[in-house]
Amino acid sequence: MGSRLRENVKQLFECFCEVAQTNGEKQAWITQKYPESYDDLEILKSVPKFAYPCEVENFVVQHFSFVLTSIDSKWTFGFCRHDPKTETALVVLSALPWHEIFYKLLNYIATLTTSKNDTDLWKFLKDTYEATIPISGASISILLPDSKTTFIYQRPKQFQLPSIPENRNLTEYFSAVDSHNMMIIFSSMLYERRIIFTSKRLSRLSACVQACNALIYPMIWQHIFIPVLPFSLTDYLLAPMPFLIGVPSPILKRVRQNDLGEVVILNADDNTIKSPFQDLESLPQDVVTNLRKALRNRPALLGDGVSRAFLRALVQLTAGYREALTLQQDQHNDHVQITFDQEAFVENRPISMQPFLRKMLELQIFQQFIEERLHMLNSGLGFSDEFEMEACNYSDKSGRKFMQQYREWTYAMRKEGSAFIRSVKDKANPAVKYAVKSVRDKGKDMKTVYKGLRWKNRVSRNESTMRFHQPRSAPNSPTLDRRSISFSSSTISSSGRTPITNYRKDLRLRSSNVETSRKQYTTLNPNLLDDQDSPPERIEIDLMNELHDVIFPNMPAVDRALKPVCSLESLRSAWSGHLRHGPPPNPIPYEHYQFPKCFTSTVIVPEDLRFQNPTRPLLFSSQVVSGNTSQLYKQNNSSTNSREMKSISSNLLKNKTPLIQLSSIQMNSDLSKIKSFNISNESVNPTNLSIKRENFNYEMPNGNSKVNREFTMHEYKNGNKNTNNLGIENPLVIYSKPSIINDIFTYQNISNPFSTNPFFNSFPDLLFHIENHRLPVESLSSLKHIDSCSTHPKAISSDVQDLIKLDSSNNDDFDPLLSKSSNDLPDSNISKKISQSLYVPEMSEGLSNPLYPYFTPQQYKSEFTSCIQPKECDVDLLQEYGLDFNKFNLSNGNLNTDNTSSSKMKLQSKQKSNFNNSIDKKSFDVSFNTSQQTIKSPSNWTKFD
Amino acid sequence: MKGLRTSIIQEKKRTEFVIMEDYKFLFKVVLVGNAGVGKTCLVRRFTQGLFPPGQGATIGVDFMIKTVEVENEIVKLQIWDTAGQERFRSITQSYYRSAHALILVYDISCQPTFDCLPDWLREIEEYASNKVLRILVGNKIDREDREIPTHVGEDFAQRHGMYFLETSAKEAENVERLFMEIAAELMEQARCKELPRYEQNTTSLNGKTTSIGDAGICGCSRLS
Repeated sequence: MGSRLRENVKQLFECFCEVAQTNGEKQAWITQKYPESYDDLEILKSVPKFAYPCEVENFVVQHFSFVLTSIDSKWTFGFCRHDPKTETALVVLSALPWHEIFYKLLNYIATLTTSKNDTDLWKFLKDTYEATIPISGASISILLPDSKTTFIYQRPKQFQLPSIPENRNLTEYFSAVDSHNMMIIFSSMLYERRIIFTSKRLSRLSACVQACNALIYPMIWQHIFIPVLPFSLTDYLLAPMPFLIGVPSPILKRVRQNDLGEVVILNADDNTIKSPFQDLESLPQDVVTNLRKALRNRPALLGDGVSRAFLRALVQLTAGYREALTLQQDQHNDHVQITFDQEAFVENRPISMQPFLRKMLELQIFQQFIEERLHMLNSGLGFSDEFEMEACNYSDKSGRKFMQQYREWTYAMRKEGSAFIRSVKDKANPAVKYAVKSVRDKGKDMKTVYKGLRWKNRVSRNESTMRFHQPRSAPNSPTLDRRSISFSSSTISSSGRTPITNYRKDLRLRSSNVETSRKQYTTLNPNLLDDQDSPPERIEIDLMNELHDVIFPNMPAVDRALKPVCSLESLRSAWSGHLRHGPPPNPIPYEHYQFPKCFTSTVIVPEDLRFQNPTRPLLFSSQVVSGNTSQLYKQNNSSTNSREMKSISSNLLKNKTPLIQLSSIQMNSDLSKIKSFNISNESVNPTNLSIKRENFNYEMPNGNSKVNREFTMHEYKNGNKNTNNLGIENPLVIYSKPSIINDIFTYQNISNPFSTNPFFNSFPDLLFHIENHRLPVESLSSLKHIDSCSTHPKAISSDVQDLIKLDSSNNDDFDPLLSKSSNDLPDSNISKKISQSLYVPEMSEGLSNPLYPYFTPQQYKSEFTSCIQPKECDVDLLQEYGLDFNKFNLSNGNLNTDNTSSSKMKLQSKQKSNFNNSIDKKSFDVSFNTSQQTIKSPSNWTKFD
Repeated sequence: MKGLRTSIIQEKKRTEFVIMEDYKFLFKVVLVGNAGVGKTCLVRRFTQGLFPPGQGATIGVDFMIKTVEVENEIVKLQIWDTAGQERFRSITQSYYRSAHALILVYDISCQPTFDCLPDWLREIEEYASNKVLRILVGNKIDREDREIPTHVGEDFAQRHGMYFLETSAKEAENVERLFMEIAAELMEQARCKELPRYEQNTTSLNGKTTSIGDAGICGCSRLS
């Protein structure tokens, strides 16, 4: 659609050329290229002209980029390196806009061109050319022929806003042009003017043009776009249509200004603008004021502050487009289509803004934008980008209930979109594909909802392949079930304002028993009354976790088990050790464990709240899939997966019976083979102690097939039995050999610790981990104080690993119950620990992450510039990631207060019978109180969107 | 036919730097119309490929330039082909904004291309300066299977205040005349409407060029 980047790019670069300088009469020409087979003559003909657009005097090494636009409007980037010491320019052609990576690559190439051995360069080019592009956020390393250096690059994260100083273009633009002039250019771009940038230096020129184009995201410049204009194409400056052209100063001097007509000229060297228009003045002034204010806050502009300021301005201008979306029935067939109502778009907004909005409707840039959004909606694809996130945020502020509903709707879609695209696009692993299909089957209804089609039971799997071509889209996930919960919560708000809503309701009615029960629960959820926003958010977290497993199946099975016992310190030490000893042996990203900031904490929970015998009310059940760990360990490159996703929603039914819902998807793959795949749905109703359980166990016949254990109820055996060989004694054991665990632990640490992935950053898994009871108890207070808890790297990892999500909870009786439970604990001395590993992304990461960028409170948003984050946010984060200690307590409290239930007694007796761990009662209380406070603050929830 | 007031000067050997050429007027002409009506062929026929075709493959937008002489003045015609813009469902105002003339092309052997004219016109009327010179062109008159009689096209043009001409890019019929008439008309507008500015320009430093801006069109007339 509107995007001008190519999709399905297979190679990092398309062609490398060395271009000899213009010499007297002789035009610049290509001296050599790789691959030799590259034969796009049009492009090859143009490359020398663009590489030497004019006579340039160069005293330092200079990088710049040019852009070639094919007739289908797609861009090919030419990354160029001028070295004053040589007579040639190095050019890499690519469809990918990753400036930093290619500039780095060019530097490596430059070193190799001076190498004595001619074959070195070609070998390196070949290696790079043939290397697969890693998934978003992941890194790949390519060894240079000298075997000493390695070219490592990390694929940029999707939807990440350009930030300072990481983004060279924006940094250059920001330093060359002041914010007022940036705003003028921004407004002129919105008015689709004819815009010229000029500079003596090609690097500054191309950087500024590229950067200002990035600043109108999510719009995309639709017209002529020439970051560096060669002299021979000077006539394009006369184009009657809009353009954005970077003109080297020597060329612009030779152009008759009269011929240019009405054109905006920005001189990036002296930071001056000549414009015949009053574009900035004619933008809605409150937008301008906000933007100006945001850009005045210099310290906050580091990171993606600049990008975000402009994005917010665009959101303020255009976010209302969602309210102008209507569902229309096509007369010719039964198709229902989402359409855009221009009138509504204008009239829904403040009067002061309307004149501009009417104008904006005429802009190509906006039409393409709307078309793209509609296309995504109508094809059942969500969108997950920063714009939608900011739009949600913005609409939150406006406090419209409708927007809230809509947000839920789009939010869910968005999540699925980005999640699956990555997995499917980048992975050839059949296990992943299988998982995706299965997941789709579960979530098929969401798509139909989106399309407005009738609900179907079966969806052709072929569609899944089709979707994967969409950059911002993806098939649906099984998380739908949960989403509908969130939706039900919005029945309080003005439901039915959109047909979509109705479909969703419809969907809900048709969903499984499980669904129904959840729905009942949500209607009773007292949280709804306090804060309608919270339930959907929790649910979304659940979705993410489920997707998370599907998407990143390459995690060693051990990870979870190990995680809780690894403190931040231990991770760090391991990393530093790794850094000393050289690069990671394996480029496979283990992002999960590589957050620059992560902390581990332990929560003490009465044992009975966790896995106990099935005759008691069960709040948790867990599943374990064991991976073939030894194989993983031996084969560094193998992609052994053992993923486990779990979410538990504890619900209150109308009759106040706790209902436990558990669904999990497990994937277990070894290399490219599906070893086992496991989906199970379980619902446990503790009231009548009945257990419903559906299990689908799929095992590929495989010589290496692993042990796959799955169980609904855990019989957790406490005591010394487990300490030596947990795998044998406990059904939850994943690894029977601690030594392997330790080894893998090491391994995982030596994988690149900094290759964080936005996904993982945004998916702070809640690992509820049952540790060996011999481990010291850690205080929940660590949640409040992010300083990492003590860790026990040597300790035997827990046998049980669960991702537990508490979807929702009733926290009415929170306080008394809390105190009670916490009092019980030290007395009985029997509580086990649950260690929770929370992966908290850096704030800057979270910011740029489209998935959970807004989890920090509003009041902190202005401080997003760095990773420094007020500690008070941490509890919020935990909550928003689904770790709601109220729920813990709630469940606990429910059990305790329900005198009719025998569970309480059992619980207490159990507590007395087992562990000797000391419990930090005080900290426990503190954390609970903290979480309670946070949950009562509505702003904590609204910001999440 | 009133006869051409213009004559084509011998095209100079092309230099790379068109913009530097000595010319008095520069007119920008944009062609619009459905895909397949022969817009590009019209331009190519007129310019005979004088301006290097194929930059469309690296810039995404193609244009041709031809320098002609009208009443002893050198006029540079820059003809922009919208071929690359067909990806837009509709072309919005910004596209026409600084064009001096719009050529709306349909295929006389293809009714749908004629039926789309109101849509095109709506866009043009909505967005483009209403003073822009508008020309309706029925192309492909070499075709035997004509579906739109000449008078239908004429009527339509008259109703909407446009010039009208039928052409055949294949046979080179009326192609040159089309562009020469446009050049002459634009120059006339430039001279009568822009006289004060023109005088100013001649006394200014470079003083060699003027572009017509707000040249008006007085109603409907036919080129022939």
